[in-house]
Amino acid sequence: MTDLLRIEGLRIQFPGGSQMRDVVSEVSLAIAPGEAVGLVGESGSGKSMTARAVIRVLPPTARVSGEITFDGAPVLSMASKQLRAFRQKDVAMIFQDPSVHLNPIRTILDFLAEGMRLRGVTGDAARSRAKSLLSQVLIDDPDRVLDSYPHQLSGGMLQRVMIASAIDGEPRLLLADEPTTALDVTTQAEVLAIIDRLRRERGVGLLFITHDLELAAAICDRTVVMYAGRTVEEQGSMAVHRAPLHPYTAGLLVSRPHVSQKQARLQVLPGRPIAAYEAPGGCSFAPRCAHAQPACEAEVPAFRALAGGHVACRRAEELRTAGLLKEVTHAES
Amino acid sequence: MPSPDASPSVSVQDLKKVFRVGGQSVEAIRGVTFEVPRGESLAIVGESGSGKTTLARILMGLERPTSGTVKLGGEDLPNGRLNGRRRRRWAERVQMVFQDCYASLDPRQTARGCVAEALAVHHKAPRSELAPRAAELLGRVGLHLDALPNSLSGGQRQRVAIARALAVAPDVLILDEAVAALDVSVQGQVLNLLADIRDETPDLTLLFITHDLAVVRQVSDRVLVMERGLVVESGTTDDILDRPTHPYTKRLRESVPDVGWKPTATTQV
Ligand SMILES: Nc1ncnc2c1ncn2[C@@H]1O[C@H](COP(=O)(O)OP(=O)(O)OP(=O)(O)O)[C@@H](O)[C@H]1O
Ligand SMILES: Nc1ncnc2c1ncn2[C@@H]1O[C@H](COP(=O)(O)OP(=O)(O)OP(=O)(O)O)[C@@H](O)[C@H]1O
Ligand SMILES: [Mg+2]
Ligand SMILES: [Mg+2]
Repeated sequence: MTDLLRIEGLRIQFPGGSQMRDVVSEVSLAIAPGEAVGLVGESGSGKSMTARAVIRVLPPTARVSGEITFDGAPVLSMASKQLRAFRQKDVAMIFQDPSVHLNPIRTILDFLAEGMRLRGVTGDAARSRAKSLLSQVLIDDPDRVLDSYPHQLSGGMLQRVMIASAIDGEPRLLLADEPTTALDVTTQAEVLAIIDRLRRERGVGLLFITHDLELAAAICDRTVVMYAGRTVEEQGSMAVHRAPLHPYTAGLLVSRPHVSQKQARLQVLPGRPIAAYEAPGGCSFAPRCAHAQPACEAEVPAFRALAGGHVACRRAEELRTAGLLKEVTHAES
Repeated sequence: MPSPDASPSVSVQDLKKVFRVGGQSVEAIRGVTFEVPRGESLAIVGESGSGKTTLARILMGLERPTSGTVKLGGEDLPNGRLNGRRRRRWAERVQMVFQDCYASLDPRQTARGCVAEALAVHHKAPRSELAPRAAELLGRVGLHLDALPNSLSGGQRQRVAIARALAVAPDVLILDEAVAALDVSVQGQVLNLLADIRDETPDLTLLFITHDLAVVRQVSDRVLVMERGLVVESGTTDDILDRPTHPYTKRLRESVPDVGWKPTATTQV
């Protein structure tokens, strides 16, 4: 089966000082129809930029190279007419910051109706369609919400308005950038059930950016892990959880808080997150890695196949065999 | 009169807030009463739209209650609009990191400038110390770059807002979904930092609004559960998470994603 979305060797740079600086250095991933792929990774590692590159809404100063194809068609070279059709029909994005994408002086109805107008749905039909979309995302007084301005709604309501707008156009590919961070877990479960149904019943491909590895394991088939502008691991979501391949992923699993038990202090990775352009030669995680050796700093490790997934770590087999990448469960720690 | 030191850090009595939208009224808070002792960390959890942010904005003096009283350290929230000096005095005691931090950061000010300004306005550092102190605070939240908000990632902006609130060294710190946008390793750093700050300043009162029950377990002493503008359950963190009694709290506890968990629709739409 051909992939719905294919990203190969994506690189995104911004002008910084006198030269161009990478914020994404090398990202590759693919999504088949009906497949859900989780994208997790350090804050600032380039997750949002990667998703934004797919619909070409990067800041104007960004320089993009590499290859992105949708259903075989190269996205980066689409002419503006083709690009408009692609955004209207094929792909939708739920942005991380709803307020940036909502006009503060227009009502929610105006916002939702705008997309519908392009498809010829107007007037009362648009209002009733908007109402039903809001009910689907569990907003219990849709009429009031439609007539509200963004500042009159709660964070989770705005997030659900964004989700409603994204599923309205019946896209074939949904890019969801931390779509449920402002939702309580009960509402989250129900909203994700809608998205889950879309992909199972209608074959929608899903790129799901999250920092919640449990959530990724629960709703995604595969999870891709990014660090400093690169994909460093890719595996089945459950496997990422139970048997991570990269020391960074293993570190993430250990550092998260757990609902069943308080810890005096969380075991966080030493050091600080870095941007892609700050990455040293060699493995960019090496300075923070407990298992780094001098050779790790010599060259960028290849992203290679291992144990049904992919990893960019020289020592992955060795560490796995020695049991050093096993998730430390909180009962043990 | 009890001495101000013996009074609870935050005291809210029968608070109500009604908004008007068009011809309709929205009862965002329908009668909420609680106290937070000095130095306690209280988590506020609840349904989306249940009034958590509104409650926080009232405590900040950004929104007037429709009725009820709010006290900080025994002192009433001043009447009328807070501006100028009164706004600054109140802000010195209570700081908030907003859920929507994008809107709360000045787009023309760099991360360092933003924290330095908070230090300057509240006279927390002499002029010559502003830049290094700002950089130090940003370092504590794991941010080592200086840039304008629109060239920062979501989690980076959130950390600027946290550093700015810490710069003021308030009595009460309200964090509204402040760690939701952070990846687990940075989130862990911030949660550890808050634990350190609580050890260093035992009088600091934390109000932690969050949807993440693992975070609740990690940071809070007590929990308040809100649903539709009311407090439906409150108690110690262990009681609420391990022995919830209200049906909503039980549902909340059961919806925590875990390995093997699947999103399910429990209500028909
Ligand atoms: N307009 C811009 N100019 C220059 N650099 C930028 C710009 N926008 C973002 N960046 C940088 O690009 C990097 C990647 O940002 P991105 O938003 O993709 O991160 P992210 O992985 O989504 O992080 P988060 O989890 O915090 O949302 C960051 O280090 C950020 O500082
Ligand atoms: N300025 C306003 N004008 C009108 N209605 C408002 C205003 N601010 C909040 N509301 C309404 O008050 C209710 C409570 O909103 P609030 O933001 O306090 O919820 P919340 O508990 O913080 O939710 P979330 O978890 O989604 O952030 C919502 O129905 C919201 O639409
Ligand atoms: Mg992002
Ligand atoms: Mg809120």
